[in-house]
Amino acid sequence: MNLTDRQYFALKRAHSLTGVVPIGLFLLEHLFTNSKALQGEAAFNAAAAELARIPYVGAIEALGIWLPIAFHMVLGVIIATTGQANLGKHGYARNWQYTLQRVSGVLLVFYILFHTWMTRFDSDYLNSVSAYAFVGEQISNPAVFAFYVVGIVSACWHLGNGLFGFAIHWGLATGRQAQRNASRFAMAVFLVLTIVGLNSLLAFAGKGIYPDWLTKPHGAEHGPVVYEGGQH
Amino acid sequence: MPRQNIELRIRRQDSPTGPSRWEEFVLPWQPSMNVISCLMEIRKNPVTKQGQKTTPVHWESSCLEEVCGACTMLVNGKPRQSCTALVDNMPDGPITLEPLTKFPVVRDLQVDRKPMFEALKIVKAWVPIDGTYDLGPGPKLSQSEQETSYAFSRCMTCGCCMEVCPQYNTRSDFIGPAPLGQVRLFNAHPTGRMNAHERLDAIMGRGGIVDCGNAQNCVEACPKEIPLTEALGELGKQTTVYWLKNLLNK
Ligand code: HEM
Ligand code: SF4
Ligand code: SF4
Ligand code: FES
Repeated sequence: MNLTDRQYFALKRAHSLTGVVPIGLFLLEHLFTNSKALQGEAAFNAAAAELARIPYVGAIEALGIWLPIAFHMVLGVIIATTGQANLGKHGYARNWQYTLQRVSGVLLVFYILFHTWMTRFDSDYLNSVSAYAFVGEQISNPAVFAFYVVGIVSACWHLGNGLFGFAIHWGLATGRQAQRNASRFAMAVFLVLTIVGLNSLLAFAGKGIYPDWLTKPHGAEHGPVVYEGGQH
Repeated sequence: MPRQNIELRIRRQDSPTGPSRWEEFVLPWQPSMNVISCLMEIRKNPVTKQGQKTTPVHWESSCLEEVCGACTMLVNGKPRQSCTALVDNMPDGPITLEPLTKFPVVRDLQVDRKPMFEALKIVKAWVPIDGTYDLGPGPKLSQSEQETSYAFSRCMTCGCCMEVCPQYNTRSDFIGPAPLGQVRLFNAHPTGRMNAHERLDAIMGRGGIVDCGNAQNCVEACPKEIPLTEALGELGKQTTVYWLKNLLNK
């Protein structure tokens, strides 16, 4: 491909941007919806069904999720091949983070292909009565469960640490202290998302951690009314 | 207790394309030696530890006070200036010397740093003042601007930052951190600023600022403690603003 300099610049910036919007936003939404599994089978299935009823869902899914992910993924793999990892010689913390950004990206290629196939296109999934039960069944296989753990941690790392790269590429964090703060923020995002993500995974196995004080809004006597059994 | 002998393991290469080999040397310790004085001792009597006669080890140096960058090599695997690599400050055991790996080897420990000098030309790392009349004295810089600029002006194109940068390699067109630091310097200069867009144009393509992967090794390795990663963030900001302005105005 013959790109002009400015097109090259724009492509690289588009790669950086798509990582945060829409892909990063989508990851937040995805973990949020998955956390509904903490409220039980009916709550999760209702949330999933509600998503499918979003207006223009087909266009939003194709143009807002698949296309950006495909673009980010292809360019990401190309970018990863231009680096020459040198952790062995120079084991600085940031060099670890640089390398893990690439490793997690490559892991995500496999994970995303597997995960979207199983929970979006597989005919058994599409014909299943309960999406919650289908996922629960899947992850009862320890190998699949382990792969989900790897995928979730990779995605959360990749987004969290990606925010640090984003802040520098776009010039949001220029000074030393600002970059240190960006790094702290990035690690906090990674940790929080990882906890939320893994807890929602456990929820599909019926083992999610959901203590009382987390279920009720502050000051309320009761938690929110939860769907009881009713399928949508 | 200072060591009695100094052992050196040196990676040698006779010609730019020739194969490389390791040779070992032992010399008696003397007070206040640095790597270059060791190499000078070897030159007096080039015999290996095993007693074999060999050619004198070739290296490059000039200022001998860490301001020219010419003597940069890998000392115990880390890129640094050999003139300020003091033997008494190094851990016990043999000292390994290798040429930098990111630049073409000329011979033994000497490399050709030309790619860096070429990159400085690409990014126009200078203030153009040639003309038909005297431009007079330029505007003054504030104290804090002077201090930041001074830090960047200390770059001696030694190549340490390039050596450790994972994005600077033969598979990538990235011009590396050192020339980008100089863009930061000259874009802040009150007269140099007038040509800031030319430098930004030069770093907004293949091999430019977007090819940095934020490993931040460069700043760890720079012997002059130049805040390279701050320059990268600053140039990220300058290119973002310049790019958006162009998108909207052109
Ligand atoms: C599908 C496979 C993926 C691959 C191969 C991949 C690869 C990469 C690579 C190599 C980078 C570093 C770019 C650079 O520093 O120049 C990167 C950055 C980034 N990625 Fe991904 N990525 C993938 C998926 C994702 C996903 C799912 C997300 C969202 C959660 C994401 C979000 C980001 C963000 C926010 C950045 C930082 C952008 C920047 O450095 O400016 N990526 N990706
Ligand atoms: S931040 Fe990392 S990738 Fe960027 S120039 Fe420095 S060492 Fe190279
Ligand atoms: S920025 Fe520092 S490490 Fe890089 S060439 Fe200049 S002095 Fe050497
Ligand atoms: S000889 Fe100039 S830096 Fe060492």
